[in-house]
Amino acid sequence: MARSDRDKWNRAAPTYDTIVSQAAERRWAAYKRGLFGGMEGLVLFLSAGTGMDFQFFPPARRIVSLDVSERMLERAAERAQRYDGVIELHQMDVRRLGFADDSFDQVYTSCTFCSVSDPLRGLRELYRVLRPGGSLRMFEHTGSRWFPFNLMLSACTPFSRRLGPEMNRPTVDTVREAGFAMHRVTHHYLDVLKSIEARKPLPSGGASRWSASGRR
Amino acid sequence: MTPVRRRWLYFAGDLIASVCAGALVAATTGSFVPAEWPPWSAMFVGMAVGMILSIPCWLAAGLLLGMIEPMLQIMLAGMLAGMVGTMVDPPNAGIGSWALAVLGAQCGLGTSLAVAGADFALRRGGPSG
Repeated sequence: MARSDRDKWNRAAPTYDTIVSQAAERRWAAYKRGLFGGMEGLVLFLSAGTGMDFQFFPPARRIVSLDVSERMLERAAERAQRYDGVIELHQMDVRRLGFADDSFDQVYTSCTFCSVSDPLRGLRELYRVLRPGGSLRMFEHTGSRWFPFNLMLSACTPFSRRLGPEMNRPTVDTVREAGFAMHRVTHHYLDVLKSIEARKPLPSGGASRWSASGRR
Repeated sequence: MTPVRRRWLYFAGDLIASVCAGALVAATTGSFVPAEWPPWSAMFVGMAVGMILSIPCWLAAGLLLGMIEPMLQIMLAGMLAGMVGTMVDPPNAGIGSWALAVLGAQCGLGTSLAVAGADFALRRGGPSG
């Protein structure tokens, strides 16, 4: 496990809700509720964080949720208990998942790949544990392609990565590079805050759920 | 609250935060650069100082409005206001901190409207990848 990542988020855990997350969760609630509303089957969700996102999950789902930080998970456990369904919490590094190939019907991420060291390796692990035809849905902030936002976000990153996330990640490109077929990218604020919807292609190029039911 | 109303409220919050940050930064940076410095040096130093001075402003706004959206607007407003604050030499121009603050507030207002316009244009562009 990446000790620096784990230590960083363990340090952030006590003040995370107040300083970072509360206002952002309020602002992003509608987008997250819309994205997570599509959960079905066995779902892998990361990162659990302190469990702030659990309030946006539809009821009566079975969700496996991960975080690299045990301090974050201690806080998330209480919120998982309040969820009207099943949330299993695991301390795990996304780059070394302890699940068999093709285990999950869907994978959801929430502000995760701004922080994972070696995001390509993490996304390849998600690809491995997702069943063929299964969907990857992400709510992420990324770098921008537009001046001056790209410069500003890059200027912030050397400082922000010490405390938490990187601000200039090309996550959409990394998702493609990991082998996923991109379905849709929806911008919520500039081209920085976005939902990314992709899928793991079927081995023989057969019909996916999306192509069977049209574009969602 | 309807989604449209929420969006307008956040727009107003970001705008007010950017205006306040611009005013504060411009008023503060007025005294940073000696009058004999060439304008180009003053401009770049002003941008850098403005960017740094805006950090407390967006951290404060972030607690109420979320971190990312106010950050981009306020930092940009700070850079612009810092540039204005250092390039307008208060003693020679015969203006004081309050006048600089008004100029900085206008930078914040302009930045906020420009960013909101860019955001609107990008999101109207529909799905992309």
